Amino acid sequence: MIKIILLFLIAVSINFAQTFNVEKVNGKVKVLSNGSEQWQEVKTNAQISSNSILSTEKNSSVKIKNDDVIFTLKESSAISVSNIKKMTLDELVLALAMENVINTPRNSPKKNSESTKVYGEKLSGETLNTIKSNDFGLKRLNGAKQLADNGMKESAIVTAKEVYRKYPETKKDATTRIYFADLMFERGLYEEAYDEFKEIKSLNINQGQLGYVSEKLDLIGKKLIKQ
Amino acid sequence: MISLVSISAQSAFSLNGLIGISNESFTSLNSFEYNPANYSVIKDWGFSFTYGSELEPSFTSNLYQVTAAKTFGKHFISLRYTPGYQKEFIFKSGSTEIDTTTDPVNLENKFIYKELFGFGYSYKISQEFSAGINVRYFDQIFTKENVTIVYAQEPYLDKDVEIDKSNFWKTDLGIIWRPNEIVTLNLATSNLFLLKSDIQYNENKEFLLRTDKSVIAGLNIFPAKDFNLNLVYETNQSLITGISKLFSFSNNKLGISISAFHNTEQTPFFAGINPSAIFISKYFDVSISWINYFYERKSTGNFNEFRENGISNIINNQYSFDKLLLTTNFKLNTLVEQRVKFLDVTINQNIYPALSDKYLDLPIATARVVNLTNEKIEVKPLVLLNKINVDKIQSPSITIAPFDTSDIKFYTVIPENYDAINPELTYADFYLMTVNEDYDDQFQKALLVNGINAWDGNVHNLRYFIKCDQDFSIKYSKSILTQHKNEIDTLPNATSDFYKAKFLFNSFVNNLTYISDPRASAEYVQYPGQTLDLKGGDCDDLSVLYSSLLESVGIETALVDYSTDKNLKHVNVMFNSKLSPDQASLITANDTKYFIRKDENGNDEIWIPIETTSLTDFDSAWTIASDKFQNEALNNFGLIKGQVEIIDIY
Repeated sequence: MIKIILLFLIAVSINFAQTFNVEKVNGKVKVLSNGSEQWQEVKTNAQISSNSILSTEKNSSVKIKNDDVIFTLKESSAISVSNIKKMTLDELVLALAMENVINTPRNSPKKNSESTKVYGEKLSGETLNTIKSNDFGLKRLNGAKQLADNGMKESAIVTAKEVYRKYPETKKDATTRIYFADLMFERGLYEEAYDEFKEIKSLNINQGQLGYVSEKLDLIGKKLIKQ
Repeated sequence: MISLVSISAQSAFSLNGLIGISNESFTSLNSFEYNPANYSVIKDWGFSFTYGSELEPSFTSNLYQVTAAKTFGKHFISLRYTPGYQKEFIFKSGSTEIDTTTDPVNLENKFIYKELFGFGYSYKISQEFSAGINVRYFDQIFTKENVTIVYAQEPYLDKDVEIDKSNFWKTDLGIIWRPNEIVTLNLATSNLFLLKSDIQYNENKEFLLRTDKSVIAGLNIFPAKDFNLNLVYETNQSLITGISKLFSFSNNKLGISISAFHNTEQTPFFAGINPSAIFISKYFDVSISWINYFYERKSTGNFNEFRENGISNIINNQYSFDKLLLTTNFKLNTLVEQRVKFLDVTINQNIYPALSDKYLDLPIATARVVNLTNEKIEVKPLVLLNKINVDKIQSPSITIAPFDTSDIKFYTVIPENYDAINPELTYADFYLMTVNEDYDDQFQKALLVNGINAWDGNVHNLRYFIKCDQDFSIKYSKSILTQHKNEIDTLPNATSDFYKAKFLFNSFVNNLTYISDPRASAEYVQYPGQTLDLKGGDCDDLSVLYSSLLESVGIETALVDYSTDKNLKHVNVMFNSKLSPDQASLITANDTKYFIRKDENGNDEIWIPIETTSLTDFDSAWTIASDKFQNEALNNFGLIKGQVEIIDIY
């Protein structure tokens, strides 16, 4: 389905270089500007470039605005500013197609010889930050949900996909995944929603979630047969 | 008084039975009678012998003909000696005696007709059309015995022989047209040009072979393979028609044929038939034929009958007897038979020596070739690039069906030591080989061989520059990493590749300057060592350098080809840090600075984009490249629109 639609969507142009103006800041809000490694405090009237990441702490929020969008990032959330945009359904389909391309394993990679085992002192520092990064992933998912809450459901779906790719641990949160799977269903992306619900079903979920997911799978299955 | 007899010069007839003119018409090389256009398919030499006998009470065998023939390209000549083409008539003209006491003297008249020899020439104007000429020599000897009484002491009878001779050359023209494999038409003259010697006695004029002009028309039809129907008609109202069929077995053929002939002097309408069988092999043919007349033949007759009816053909007339003939043809081929031929050769592209490995899979030229034989052949294509190759390079063989055309691809190998800097116009010699030791055909075409730094502009092909200078890159990379050994040893193992990449980039970046390509017809790319020696390069050169250094220490790389702006193409590098997404925070707090790709097993790996033209430091180059990648490849969907392509080096 996606592939067929792609032929017609390839010429879709998207505005991505959006700069936002910070309208209002509550509490502790940080920004990671383009390519920067240092979080900086966000102040009112600051300009935020598109590839920046905004992050809010507990009891904090930030309201940003550009010509098209006014968006408020609530507490304990993070978002890449480039994700804050209104997308059409066609653009969503294009984005999901690209996600499929990105997630396709590479063909015939170079077969490197096995690495020689390193003996000696045990190296440290490899796992120190991973749990912390998962927390940030959850904050990013919160940000994605708020996109949907602000009417940018297509962008929310794309953002969630990106977060799941970059923060794989977040995929274990069944509740959030059900939320985004429902969004896909709602947008008529039955195949994608079906695949997502199937994956959710394989997670360690409670009975209530299992019943809901099974019900959704039946419903989407019927819709796919009709198509 | 002797009345007029109609004796004409030799007309259409066949001794060996097969009169179909086809690809098998090797059998016809001995016959000017049914093949007046002298058409032949022999490739070089041909020899023919016909030996046989008339089946009459006084059985005598005879060598009928010996023919030698030769083809020179489109020219064909044949020489024929015909000792057996002769007919002799003896008539007793009376007896004379002086008185009853003396023995009577018997007197005879002899009429001898001979065709002694001839030669033919034909020219193949095209594959379908041939024209020929044949010249034949005839001899006629008439003897008449007379007796006179010599009055001596004892009168006696003195017999003398009056000999009268006349010979003539006869020249005829013929054409043959074979528009397709099914139909063959031929048209020829009979007695078109004559050169005669005079006869001495007027009374013998009546017995000279008649040389009335006529036209011979022939039609051959092949309704099926190796099946022939034929008809040869002369305007003097004689004809011969036949049917033949060949059967293939192994590489040989066995054929049977039957023909029937008619002329106005003989009865019934078809005076006889000529069944024959033939064996055709690669080097020789043998045919045995039987000429059988329906009308009873008599070995005796009277002069008046001869005088009234005459004969129309020396070897086929009302006084001819059944014949049994054995014909053997030998083919002697001293020439290499061309089995395959070039129709055209198309050069697919100019040569870029740097892309040498590419030519193992990509043909440099495609040739249209035709199988000239009636059998399936295997063709070996070879090519020699002058000034580049010493030996011919053989490409994969292909099999071509009989008379079919096919496309053959030519591949080449660029020697590793090829080092010409400047482009050079050279020639490629293309060869086709089959079973012959020599080449069946050759074709030469010019092509441009670029210098070793030339690049065709396809970013995929930059990988050849990356792989080419590996020895240099290994040496350079190891020396740099050795300098950072202590730092690398104290870093988390998972981040080893990332920091190696960082050290390598920072090792050269401060010494280089961005320099555009020289103006040239082909794009120019420097090898890694050249870029360091020259202390600079453009995005292609710098990407090649960095990728080569990383690959030399086992770090996977990819080129990122940006064509968002059609007028400003750009390439930079992405490398595999081997970190998983969970480990990303080991190298960055900013998740927009990396790109996750799956390996062949579906595991996520973090790839780091690097802008190689950002000649400040690694972190800046990373930031710039990730920002560009994020915008053009991801935010603008360049990856799915084809505006951004990630090209793995291996």
